[in-house]
Amino acid sequence: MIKHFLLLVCVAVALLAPPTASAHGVQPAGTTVVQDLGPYTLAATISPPTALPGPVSVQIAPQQSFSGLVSVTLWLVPIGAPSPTPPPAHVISEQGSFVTQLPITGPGDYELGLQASGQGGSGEARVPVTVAQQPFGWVVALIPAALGAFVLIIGGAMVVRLRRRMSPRFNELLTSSMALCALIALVAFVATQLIPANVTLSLSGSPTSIVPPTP
Amino acid sequence: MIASVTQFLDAGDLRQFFELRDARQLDRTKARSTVAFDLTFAIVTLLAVVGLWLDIWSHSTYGADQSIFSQYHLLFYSATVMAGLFLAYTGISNLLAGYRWSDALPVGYSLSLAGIIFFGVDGCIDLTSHAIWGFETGIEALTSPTHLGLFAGIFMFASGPIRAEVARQRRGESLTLIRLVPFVLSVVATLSAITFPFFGSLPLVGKPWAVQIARADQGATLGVLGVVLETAIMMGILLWIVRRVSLPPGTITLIFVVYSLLTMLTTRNPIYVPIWLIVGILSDLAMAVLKPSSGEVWRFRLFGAVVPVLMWSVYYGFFIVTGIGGGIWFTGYIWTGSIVEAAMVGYILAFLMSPATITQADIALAGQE
Repeated sequence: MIKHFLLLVCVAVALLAPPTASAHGVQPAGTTVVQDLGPYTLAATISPPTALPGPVSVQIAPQQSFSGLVSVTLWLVPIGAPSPTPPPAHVISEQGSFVTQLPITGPGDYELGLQASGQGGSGEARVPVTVAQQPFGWVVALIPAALGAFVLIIGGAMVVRLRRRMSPRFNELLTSSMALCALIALVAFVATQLIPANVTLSLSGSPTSIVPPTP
Repeated sequence: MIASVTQFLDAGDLRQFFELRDARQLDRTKARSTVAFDLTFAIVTLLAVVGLWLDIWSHSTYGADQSIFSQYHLLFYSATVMAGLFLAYTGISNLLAGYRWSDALPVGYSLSLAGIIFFGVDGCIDLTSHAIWGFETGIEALTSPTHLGLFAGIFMFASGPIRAEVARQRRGESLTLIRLVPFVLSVVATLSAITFPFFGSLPLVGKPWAVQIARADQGATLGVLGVVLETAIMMGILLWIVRRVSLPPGTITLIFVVYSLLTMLTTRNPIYVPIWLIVGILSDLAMAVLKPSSGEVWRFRLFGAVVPVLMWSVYYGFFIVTGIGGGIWFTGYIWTGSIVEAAMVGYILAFLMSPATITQADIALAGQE
């Protein structure tokens, strides 16, 4: 009885091993774009999130000297979507920089909007970026394969059963293989949900400067 | 042709199929499930339950679905279809082997088939209503009639291996280690089916009301009600099983830990796992000491009161000692009083399940199970 108890407690403790997934892995390297925003030249370093949905990290740093302060506004929207309500602006000097987080829900094409204004003037630009997610492809493929195998085994077993009598041993073997297929599908599905996929971010085109209309 | 159809309308056969007859009659003629059968069914059921827990996580995190064909919907509907195909294959095989149609499904699985059919019908209505009227949001998603129907369907079909084990113990067989696996998976899946509508309110699943970081208006009232509700759910299932199945030591720990891992798919909060582990170990010790399955009524009722005390003492004690989440903000009266109330709920449930004196009606009722 003690042996049973200890064995079951060991199993329970083994199940406690935390899932390998963590949404907070090492921050992937960013892509830097140097862009003129009117009279100001700023560098934007854009880093993808570690998991989706998650925040895109953008660091803004001046690339030239200027006097006074510059107000910088950033936003990130899917391509073709309307610009959002202007978010709060960040104010920097020529030695300053800041990092902001812009949330996205999934992979796709986005547009990073940058707007700068100060004593020397103002400027705006759009930077097209593409966020891609590379899941463990073979793990994903396991799920329909295992489910399909399950159905095929049932179908095959039914055909065999209709034609001739099946031995209990063979029936047990078929049932066990169905159990294995279901287990593979279960483990694979949970793995795809918990293991963070590799998220990448790249520029999908040249940045575009928005020229303000002439009064 | 009418004659071949009306054979399914015989009252005796219908009662036999739905296991509404004397248990000795069922055991004499009905097909019996093997370990491989129970395990396959339990894993497929777990697949459906995992899909549902993840679907709830998806709704909680991203809001309403954009399409009825989400990956989670596909998973749990596919798993349910697989379970139905599996039962159909087994039933047809047994028919070909000479069993009467009412005896073709193994003991305990007739209700599972009914649950799968109910789930399927309700699921079609649910998907249609989503396609026409969109998706429910917030608490409505957990209390809509079609979703409650889905949870009820899962409850019916997931509990098949439990009923099969009850039937085996009735025949004098004991629960071996290998048969423990499908049994535990089935208990966890059945518990999940009852937990789904309430998970956001249960202190040991979705909302630790007593913890400082989760402090909210009316949090004390909701927290105490959550304690009472979660006790009712856990002890309802646990006492029902303990009364009918002699569990090997460590089973309760396994049930609680696997259950907490499953709920973690939705909450993504691992803090409950060590709590459930400790509660499980202490509950197994309580079972070993009190022997609630021995037949003595007072042991069973005392077990019903002791386990909730252990559950909630560990829950509050864990946060008090570790200070995680800022410790607890409930006053002493509130958290100690809620433990007492939980013990009362557990005792009442055990009292209702165990008459003090055995009457002829009780013997007849036991024979029906």
